[in-house]
Amino acid sequence: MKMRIQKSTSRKVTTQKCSFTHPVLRSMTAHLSVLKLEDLPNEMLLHILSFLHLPDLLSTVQLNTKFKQLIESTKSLWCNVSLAGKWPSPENMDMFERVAEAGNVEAKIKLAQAYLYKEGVSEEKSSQNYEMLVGRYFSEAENSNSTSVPFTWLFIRPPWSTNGTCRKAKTFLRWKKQNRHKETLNSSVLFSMAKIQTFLEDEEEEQSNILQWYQQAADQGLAVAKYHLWKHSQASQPKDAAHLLESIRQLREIAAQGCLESQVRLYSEYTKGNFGDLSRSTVTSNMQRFFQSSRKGVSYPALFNGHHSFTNSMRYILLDWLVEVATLKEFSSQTIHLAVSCVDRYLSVCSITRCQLQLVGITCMLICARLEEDNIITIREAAWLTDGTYKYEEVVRMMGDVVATLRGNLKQLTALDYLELLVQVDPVSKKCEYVAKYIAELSLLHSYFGTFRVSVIAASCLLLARVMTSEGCPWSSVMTEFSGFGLADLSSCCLALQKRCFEKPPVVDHRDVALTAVKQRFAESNRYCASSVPAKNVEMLHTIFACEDKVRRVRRNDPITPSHRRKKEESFLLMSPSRKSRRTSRPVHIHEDAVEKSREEEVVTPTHEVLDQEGAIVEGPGSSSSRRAHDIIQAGSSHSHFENENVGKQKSTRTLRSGSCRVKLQDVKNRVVEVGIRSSPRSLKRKTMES
Amino acid sequence: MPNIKLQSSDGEVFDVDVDVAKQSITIKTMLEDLGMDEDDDEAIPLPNVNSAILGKVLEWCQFHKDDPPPPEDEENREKRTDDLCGFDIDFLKVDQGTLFELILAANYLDIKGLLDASCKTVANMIKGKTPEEIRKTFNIKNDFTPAEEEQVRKENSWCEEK
Repeated sequence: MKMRIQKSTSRKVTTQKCSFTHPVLRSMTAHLSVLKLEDLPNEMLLHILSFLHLPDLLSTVQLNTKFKQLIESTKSLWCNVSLAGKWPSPENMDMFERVAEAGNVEAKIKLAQAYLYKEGVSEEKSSQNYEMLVGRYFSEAENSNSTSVPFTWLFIRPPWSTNGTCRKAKTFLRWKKQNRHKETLNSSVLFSMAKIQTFLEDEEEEQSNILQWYQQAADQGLAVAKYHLWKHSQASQPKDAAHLLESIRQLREIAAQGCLESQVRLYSEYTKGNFGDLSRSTVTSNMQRFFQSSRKGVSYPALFNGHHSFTNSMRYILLDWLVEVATLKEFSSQTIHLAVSCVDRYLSVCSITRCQLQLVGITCMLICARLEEDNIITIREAAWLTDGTYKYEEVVRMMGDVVATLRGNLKQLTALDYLELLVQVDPVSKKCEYVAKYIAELSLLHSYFGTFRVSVIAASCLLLARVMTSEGCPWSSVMTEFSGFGLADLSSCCLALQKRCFEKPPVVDHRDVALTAVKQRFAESNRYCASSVPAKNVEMLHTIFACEDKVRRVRRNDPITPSHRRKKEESFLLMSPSRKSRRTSRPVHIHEDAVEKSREEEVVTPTHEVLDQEGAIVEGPGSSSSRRAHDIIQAGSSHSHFENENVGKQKSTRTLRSGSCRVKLQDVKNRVVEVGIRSSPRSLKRKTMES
Repeated sequence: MPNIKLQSSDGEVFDVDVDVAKQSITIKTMLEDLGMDEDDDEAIPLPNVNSAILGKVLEWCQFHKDDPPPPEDEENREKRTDDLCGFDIDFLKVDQGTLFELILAANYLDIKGLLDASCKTVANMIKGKTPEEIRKTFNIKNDFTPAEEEQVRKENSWCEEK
């Protein structure tokens, strides 16, 4: 909602003498009586109401005529109202249908999922034609899907049960029938049909359906369908220069329409030297833009705001377990990266209780496996993996909740995507590549890295890997040419990776071996024993960044005066912990033109200071307080921790059942209580069940 | 840092750091339109904000002046209301009249952070309450007839699963 009612007015102001007033604001100047909620202009009332979840919004409808009329007539409120944590049931079905009617994606996804799994919907009502309802709600949800990446196929994709009553199969067959009868289907539905068909082992003739459906979806303008067609056409095309030129041109067109997969493919072609009809400088500047506009993860202040009972170590434990699950199921690292991004984004939007944390984790893994892998986790299996901590229904609901809350926006570019591109720019040995992947996966465990762009993390992982495997020049000029990152842009992330992933003992070394799932995963020979490559001494990094530091220090022409610094520290100390951590997580400047500027504006912390101080890595001014900030956060969380847990001064070790073996977990600061999540896939228990 | 002068509706002049004041998009736009160089000592009139509220607003801006700009992507739909920082929570512990005036001022001055924080505070006052409790909290008059009220209640009550 745009609320800049005065903006247009102020733009017109040409002289200082000009005064302006707004009718609704007169009450402020008049000051006759104390302002009441109802006196606020509608725009602002709606802004307030937009923060309410559905049950509260319904309560405000009942206040009086004014509220009723305002709320009922504002479709956008119903369309965007959050249904997080709510699930359709016979009692509230009318409400769900009503908000779905108003265009609410969350309601549509949840209704579709509810009918698909017969979860929460009453028998009489759904006895009519489930697959029609499932199909309708998914199709409507896709209609209001703004990401242009269809998600319906995730829910419907095989394996299907063979007893003939499987609603997934029925929904698919119904769509197929509709398509045969020339009924118009949504492009996302057509795409999903094609995608599902690829998982079915049917005869040759059926396979032609796939292309036909992609084609129909592409005709409706769905970029990702066009990309699939493009990929298919590549296989049969001759590899001469003329065709190559044409196919790059087509790919560029598709990528321009916002399809992530095609963008990655396009840049991958660029890195192989297939520039199409573009000059090298145009290509590299496009690549640089791509790297520098990369998203950031969710940084931990946002992640743990409102989740005061969560700590970084809980997140670490959860993700470590997810890595273990992924290794067990032989999932790719990409799936892990996507799942972690889903977990973080879901947690940053939703408030959940601590005992649901593991449910969120396994569900995100389940969803992302469906997105990426041929082999998937079934819902029953997901429940089993948590040692029966969660029931089948809970996983079904959480699956709907996660996809609904993220509004189907599941696919994101990960550090691995960027890493792959970088490796193609300046090829390295397989071993080095896997070391980089290993570091990238380690970085996931530390929510701290949410403050960096994923492209920066990818570049830093590669740089570090090259140093560790002693492969030539750690950062060649061609890397800078394509990524736009120089050594200076990567130094803070690199040093943080070195410190957190290799040097800092607390999270890995103070804990039991059971919490080194990533290390174990990369110890396998098919991953080139990447985790056995010894970390280089930090001095090495210093040498690499040293010259850069000197340049930076010389440019430091605006040093902070002692009094200024003291003032900063004082105000810093007065802040709340969460606020402080926001301070320390200042974004890295990576835009090329901004780099120059930031060097001048910011007082750069020399590297040896950086290493002394946790959390000060991205920081300039005020960095000396950052460590304290971190301690306070830690202390604060441990405090609330005890309060919430009712475990008080508990024993500092806890023995946990882990399949056949028993695993002992020891906490960093003799606090073990956050071990809500346990160490081996089959042996996780909810905290509540233990205490 | 150069300072600028802001004049409230009741004539009081505030001398503030430009960077602090520029968190208000309204003021920022005005400064850009007016051109910063002609810095005569004249104060910028803000006829819609009285001195008490303007003082509060500037206090908020002072504290938040180093905040990173809010993320633009729509995925960060700030639906959560439990993510206010400690300073904001304490800062907004004010009587309702002041809170609503802050909302109006934040809207007029176009300070998104303050607008969201204050609106979230009001939303938090609504959350989890019955309609009657909300009416009581905000002194809202119920103008439904009993029959109407019953009808509205029937149509709009949320049933938690049993």
